[in-house]
Amino acid sequence: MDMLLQVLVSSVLLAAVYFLLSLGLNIILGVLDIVNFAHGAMLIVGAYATYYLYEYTGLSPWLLVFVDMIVVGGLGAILYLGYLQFTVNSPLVRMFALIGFSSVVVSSILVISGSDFRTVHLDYGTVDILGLPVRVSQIVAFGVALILGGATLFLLNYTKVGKAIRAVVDDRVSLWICGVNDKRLSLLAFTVGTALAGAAGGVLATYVTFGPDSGLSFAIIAFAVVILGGLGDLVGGALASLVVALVLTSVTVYWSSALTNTALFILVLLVLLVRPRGILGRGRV
Amino acid sequence: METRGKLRDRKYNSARQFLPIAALIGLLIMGMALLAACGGDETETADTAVETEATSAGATDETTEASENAESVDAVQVGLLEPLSGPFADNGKMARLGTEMAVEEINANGGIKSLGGAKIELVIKDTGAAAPAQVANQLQSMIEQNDLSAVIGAWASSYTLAASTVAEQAGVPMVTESFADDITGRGYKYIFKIPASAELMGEEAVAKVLELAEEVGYEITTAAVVADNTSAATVSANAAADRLVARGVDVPVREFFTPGLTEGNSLAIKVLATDPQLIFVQGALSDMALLQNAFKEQGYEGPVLGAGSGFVVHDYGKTVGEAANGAFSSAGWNWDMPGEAAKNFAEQFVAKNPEFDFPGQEAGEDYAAMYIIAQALENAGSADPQAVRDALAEIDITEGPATILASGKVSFDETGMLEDTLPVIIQWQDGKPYTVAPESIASRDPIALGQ
Repeated sequence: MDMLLQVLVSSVLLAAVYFLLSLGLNIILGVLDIVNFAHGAMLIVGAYATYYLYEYTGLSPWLLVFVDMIVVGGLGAILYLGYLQFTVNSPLVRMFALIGFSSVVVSSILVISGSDFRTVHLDYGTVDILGLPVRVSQIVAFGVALILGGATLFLLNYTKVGKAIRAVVDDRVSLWICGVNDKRLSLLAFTVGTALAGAAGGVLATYVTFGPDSGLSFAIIAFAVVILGGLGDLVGGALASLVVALVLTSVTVYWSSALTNTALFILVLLVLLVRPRGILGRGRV
Repeated sequence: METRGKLRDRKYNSARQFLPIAALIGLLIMGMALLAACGGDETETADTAVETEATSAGATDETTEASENAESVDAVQVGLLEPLSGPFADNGKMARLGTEMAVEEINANGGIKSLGGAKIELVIKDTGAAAPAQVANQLQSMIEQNDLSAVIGAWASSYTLAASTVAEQAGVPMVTESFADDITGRGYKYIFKIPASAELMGEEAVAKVLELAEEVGYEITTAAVVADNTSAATVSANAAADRLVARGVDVPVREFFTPGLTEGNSLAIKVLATDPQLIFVQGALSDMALLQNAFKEQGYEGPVLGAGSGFVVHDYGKTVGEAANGAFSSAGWNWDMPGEAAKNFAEQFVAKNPEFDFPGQEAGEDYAAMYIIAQALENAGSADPQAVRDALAEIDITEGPATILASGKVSFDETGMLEDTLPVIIQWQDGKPYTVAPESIASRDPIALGQ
């Protein structure tokens, strides 16, 4: 029973981070139809930004999460303006461009920062939740993830720009007819998506030891969450994060840690077979 | 139809536009290939810190000539095959720093005197994260493109096992810092191994931890073994588990995870559910940092034990943080070895590389390895690999920089194992690894945990 409780608490805390991980990917996929293969690289840029800014300025890593958003969002905007906007009708070219971009980013980090693993040492101690020791920084990460996730959901559902962005997903042509500049919306969506990836990277940096190529394992989780939740369905994504966190944790605890990825992929396959539009059935195909 | 035609036209257009660029790229590639063919490993050689005036190509010719009529060699080539990028880069870089330091010292002190003051020229190659078979090919091309008198490498035991077969066939002596016992167990004539046997190290590390626990009255009845599922980690973890079981310790959890963990809590929940008093951990530094911190946060205060690899990386203490304190591991060498030579080396290394506060395991091992090879060249009076091999087999060093090794002297038995080696057991204390066993070389007393 005690172990079950541990698994549950641990999963809920993880789920918030996984949701944040998937948020940027989900928006970019939902609005722009871009499968962001550079998501892992964006996460890692965010993590490194936090690491270096923390080293040199000593600011709180939680504040730096917002700086990361500007850094990585800016990178995303440059990437979109400089390249991706010219590839609207060629998803294959875009895919290779993003894979290429991601290896350029990873190699640049390798050249600039070396292959050493980095950590942002945060020790706020632990507190007891339901009689279990939980890291304070993990709870703050949970909070930051909830705030950013909630803010994104609010902006998308209750503001004009947000509604317009959602309208791009639903019907781009009608939007043109209404006189909305879908190019600017696309740029905005891509920038916001990458900024969220940067924020997720910043949160990761506070509890994970990372190197230049650590982004991939997190990107895999983000992809799984997006597919399970339904492409472009952010609420579904939130639910899917919890499912993924629960599955990964319980497979490790009750079975074997070597099987976590296997379990994850089987889950994704099953959902694709049974509910191709995601758990809530509201995503796109 | 019309649009399709247009599209096709546009494609042709863009293809035509692309042609000059493609041609340029093609030209560049050909140019590079040509350079590579002429220069061999020129780029690799050029960026070593060796101060030879001869160009690589020139040196190659002269070395060939010289090995035929000895005595008047300008440069002797020694290969260094190490993982300088990829997951083992930290270890490989240490190896490179140590070797380069030895080469600089030897050359500054007049080179190999019996060869008319010949300078040593290091030919460096990066294995990257290649598969062992590829590493064997890398050594093959190194040998073909240069006139290596000897080679040092290749850090990972799996790499060394593969590469040493190539060295054996080519008749080039190889000095290694790898741990695995199979390396010298195959009757090879051209392999020379510096660290103590892995078996001995594992045995000694377990014995030391159990002995210490008994001394302070900390009872170890249950242990857990956690390692990543790479072959090296699996082997050492299983060996440690078997040793613990043989000593009456129950090992209910043997957990092998895929490297690249995204969080450590779930594994910690599983491992700590069995209430272990000792945890054996082995894996890449990033994974160990996650795991050890998770163990600590979930209330584990007992000792942690490892077997080389990540535990002897210079950054281990910094990366893992406070949870690193008190971790035990076996090592091939440690910076606090007794004796003047070791002390000098450690001081000079830190003076030369201020980014490190002590030389890592590989730096010491390969610094000694380079001096051993230099002595063999000196004794052989020839740069011929066969002569160097024979001199290595006969070598007997009792003073000088090569004695920084735990044995304090250098001679090899008929299998190529260093004679009288000691298994070095280290413990991380205050951010540095200190030798805590065996007593003859220990520099500090172990700190006991979990009382």
